[in-house]
Amino acid sequence: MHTLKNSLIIILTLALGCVVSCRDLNELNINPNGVDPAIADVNFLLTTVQTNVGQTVYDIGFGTFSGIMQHTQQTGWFSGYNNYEWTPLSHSWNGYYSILMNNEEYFRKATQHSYEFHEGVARIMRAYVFGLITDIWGDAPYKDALKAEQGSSHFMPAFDPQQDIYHGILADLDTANMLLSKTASEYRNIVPKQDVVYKGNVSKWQKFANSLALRYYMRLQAKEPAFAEEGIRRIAGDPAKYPLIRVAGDDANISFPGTSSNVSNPLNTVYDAKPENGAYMRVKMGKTLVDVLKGHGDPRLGVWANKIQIPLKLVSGTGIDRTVEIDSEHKIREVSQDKVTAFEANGMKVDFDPEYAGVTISHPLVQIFNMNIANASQGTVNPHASHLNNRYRKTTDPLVLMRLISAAEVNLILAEAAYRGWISGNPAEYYADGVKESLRAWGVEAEFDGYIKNAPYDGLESIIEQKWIAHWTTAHEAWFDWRRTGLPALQTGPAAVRPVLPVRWYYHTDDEINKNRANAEAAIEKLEATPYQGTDQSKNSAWSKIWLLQGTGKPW
Amino acid sequence: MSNSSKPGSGLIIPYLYTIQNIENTSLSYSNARYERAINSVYAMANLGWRDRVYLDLTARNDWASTLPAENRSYFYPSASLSFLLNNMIDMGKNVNLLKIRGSIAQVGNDTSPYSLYATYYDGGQWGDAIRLGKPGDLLNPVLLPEESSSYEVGMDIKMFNNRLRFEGTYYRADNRNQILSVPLAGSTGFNSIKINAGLLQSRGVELMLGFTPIETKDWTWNLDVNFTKNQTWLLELSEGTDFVQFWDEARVKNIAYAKDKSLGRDGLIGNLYTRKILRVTDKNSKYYGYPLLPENSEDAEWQAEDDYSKVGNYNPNFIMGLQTSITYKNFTLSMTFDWRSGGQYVSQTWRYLTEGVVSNTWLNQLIIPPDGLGGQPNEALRDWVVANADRLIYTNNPRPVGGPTPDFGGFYNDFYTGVGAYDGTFAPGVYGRYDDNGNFILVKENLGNEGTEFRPYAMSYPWGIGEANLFDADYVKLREIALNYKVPAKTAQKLKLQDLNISVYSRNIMLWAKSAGMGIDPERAYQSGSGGGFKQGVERFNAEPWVIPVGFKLSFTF
Repeated sequence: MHTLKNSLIIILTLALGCVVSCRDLNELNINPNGVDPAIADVNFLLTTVQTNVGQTVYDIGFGTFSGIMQHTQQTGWFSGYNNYEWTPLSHSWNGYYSILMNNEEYFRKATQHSYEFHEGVARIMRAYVFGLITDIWGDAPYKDALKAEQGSSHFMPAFDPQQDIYHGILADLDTANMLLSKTASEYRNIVPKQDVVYKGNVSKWQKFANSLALRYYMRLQAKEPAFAEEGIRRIAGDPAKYPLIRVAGDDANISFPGTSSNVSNPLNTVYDAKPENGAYMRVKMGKTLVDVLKGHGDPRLGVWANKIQIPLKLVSGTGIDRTVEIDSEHKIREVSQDKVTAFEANGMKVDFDPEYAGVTISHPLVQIFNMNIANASQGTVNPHASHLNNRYRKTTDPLVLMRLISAAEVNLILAEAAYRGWISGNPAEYYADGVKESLRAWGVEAEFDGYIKNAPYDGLESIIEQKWIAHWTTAHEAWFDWRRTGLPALQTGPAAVRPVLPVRWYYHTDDEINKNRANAEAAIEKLEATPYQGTDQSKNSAWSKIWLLQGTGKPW
Repeated sequence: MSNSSKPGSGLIIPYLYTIQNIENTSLSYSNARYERAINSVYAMANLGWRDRVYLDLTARNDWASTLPAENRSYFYPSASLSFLLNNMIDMGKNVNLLKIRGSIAQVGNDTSPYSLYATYYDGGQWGDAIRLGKPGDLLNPVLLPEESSSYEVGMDIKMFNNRLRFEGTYYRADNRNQILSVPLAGSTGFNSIKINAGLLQSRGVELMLGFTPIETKDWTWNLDVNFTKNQTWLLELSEGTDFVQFWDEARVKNIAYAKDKSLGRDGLIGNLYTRKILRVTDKNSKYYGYPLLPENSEDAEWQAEDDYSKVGNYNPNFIMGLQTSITYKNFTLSMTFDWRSGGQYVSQTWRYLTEGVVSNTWLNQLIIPPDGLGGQPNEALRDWVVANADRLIYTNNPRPVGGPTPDFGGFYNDFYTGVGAYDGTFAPGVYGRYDDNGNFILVKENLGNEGTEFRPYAMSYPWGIGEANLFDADYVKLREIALNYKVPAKTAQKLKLQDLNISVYSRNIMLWAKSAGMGIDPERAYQSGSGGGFKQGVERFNAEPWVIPVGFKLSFTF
């Protein structure tokens, strides 16, 4: 009896135990904290890719490259920005490849559902980012990159030659042009509010594809002139088949919502805990750009820069250094020649311009530019130098945009093509169009007629100079042009770590070389050493020449 | 579940610190849920024969939800056998216990939930557009369960009425298929991938020796010494991956490479790697081995080589403990000591405090030039530096020459402000470069001669050099000391109590640590890591002193 009763209890307990614990173990492991990729719409990935590209472009265009191209200088923590003091741990391409990874997912979903609009946009974005990677670093993984999900043989991708990457990009853009050539109603699943560049306007994307192709054909002008010429002639010669961005209204720009810190202009002082030496305050206008703009009477200077708070004025006498109030809003600082001479002994010339003064380039004492000894600490205000315009303090502004490509650039590329005799048309006309569209993009096109007289077309130097000006906040493009042509003829300053400007970024030791050693070292071997390598321990140097520059004799 | 406000969002009404007083669009909020289940079946048997042989057996099978269906079930048994030899063979009255034991055990393990398939994360809205993104940490849809097999043999001996005691164990543990994240090259587009690591092996010994040298009516002295040594190696990793990285702090990385003698990799877990100071490598140059300084740099400090070298390991060579107690009549004094030998650790506390110029230790380590040689560059100073090359130039851990005031020999400089002061230091080294044949061409010496680059003392700490933050982790500690009074049985019985003991104790009394000189306890060299784990071998502001309690204890039975 006892045994039977015990067995019954045991059996019942076991049965109960089974019922309670039988939940489907497969279902339990489905992650409820994220979105299932199978059901997520492709449009949600588009915005991620676009905003990340935009923020990257703003960061380099208004960051380090702005300092290299002498648009701006930093007056605090400036060794990398002003003086090119970099190491192989300074610049990583992880962010770029991470954008490409999301873009590949976007591309995969687009082709899976045959969304031709999205496939076209994905190809454009892929070309854009791979283009930046190879522009900046040289050889890089391209065909074998981004494939780690397919197995361990792809964990260490081979580096593709720079030439192959450029040709691959141009092929992608040609395909994109074809995909985006239909009428708008023939495309499915376009959600305008998810497209922060063009709000789903297909024809503008088509123009973007061809404009980007123009940019990259011209990039190859020095190294593969015949190839470049053929491409530009083909695109420029058939505007019906290859429409281009010719007016500022078609510029590819992304604006900042400004509602919180991570969707705002990165230089803003609204969300900055320490604005007195924060991101806005530590950047000032650079002397080279300000002097050129003043020379031309350029209306964009007032858009980009603030006027000097307290101008300097030379007065006769000795031992004079005083601030005088002119009225309730204006002050002036009067100094005598002996004080000026004593200050200039450090190598910085004093700028007496009453409105705009740009900071000396690459000087060790840049914090005290223009006798700013009273505010000598890092990254603070300089009442005697031009700060960035107040619009850069705001979280959002109609002119503070992430600019992917512009009509000004396209027109000036065409001007250069006409100058080289590659396309028909008068280079002076394309030049004028380029200048006008840049003024229009910055809201001062009314000044065009007066301005063009002060800055007339005068061959390649004038074209590249106007491009250099027009690339304000996209200075990396100006750097690529300088590398190709040696124009504008920029000089280094006394604190620069080498006597010439750098031509690439280092491959990153931790993020790539240590994790993909054989392939990275093979790519470094293909770089061309130059006499400016300095103490860099291998050819992985910012002064080694990439394929694009080898044999061209440029920029130095 | 968590919510917070985005940086700089501000309050709607001033001075009212509540969540509802922040703009909607400036709030960020999140919640997450994790579920996991393991179904198990388990059996255990204990067998003994005549108090001579004992055998314990276990068997268990788990089904885990966190693994893929085809790898979900895993089985792991264990067996342990011991022989009491003193009961089997007559060993005389002096041997109280002689036991030989051995065991083999397997343990299986699953992983954390949702490790198989990726989901998109929410990247935050951009205006009114929604952004989703794919995570950069790749998951693995074919994960296998972790499996650990351990083998152990040991012996216990007690002799002379337990006045001599010995226990010894040797063990080996093989961990296969450990589920780890290994880093991936940036050009794959991903940061890391979860894999089953091939094989990690631990081997070690644990020994305990106890004596009771004095045992008389009034006096007893007990002494117990124990010794442990453990090493773990990464023997195999996984295809396509070279190493696992555990942390990267203060310019030092904790990396494990798979063991490979041909590449000079010992495979030890806990190895610390850093980039050593860049030196002149031209053997024919008279400056061979001198630090090579970077041209025109803002900092004028030593710079690091591109490649990483092994500089230490955070695991100790061995750990010994000593427990001793002396009893006189009813009083017992007991003490416990610990000694850890070997190993290094990284101190972020040291690094941040020294870089921030708020600690005295850097001042104490500056090289002060002899009287009259400070203040300005001069040839005699340069000759003195060269004469002391071992301490100033060839050492692995150089220090700047000079200091913040003329008493330290502070050198004149007017760094970045145009205003000069005698507060400068310099880093001994040379400037130069190599020609096409690899010969070193000097540009200028930086040894105190004319042309030496001086920087203010406040900038003299070499932030980029990891070896400056590395310290030996040896220590000896007096962990516990206690004085116990056993109340005589007759007195206790009057209170109707037995075993009445009163004691006074204290813990964490003394620490002798080999280095750091900042009062940092090497035992605190750990940091909690993101994702719940913790990083061993590095400490960051984990420098609060141990609490030394002093207590009274009263114990009795009734």
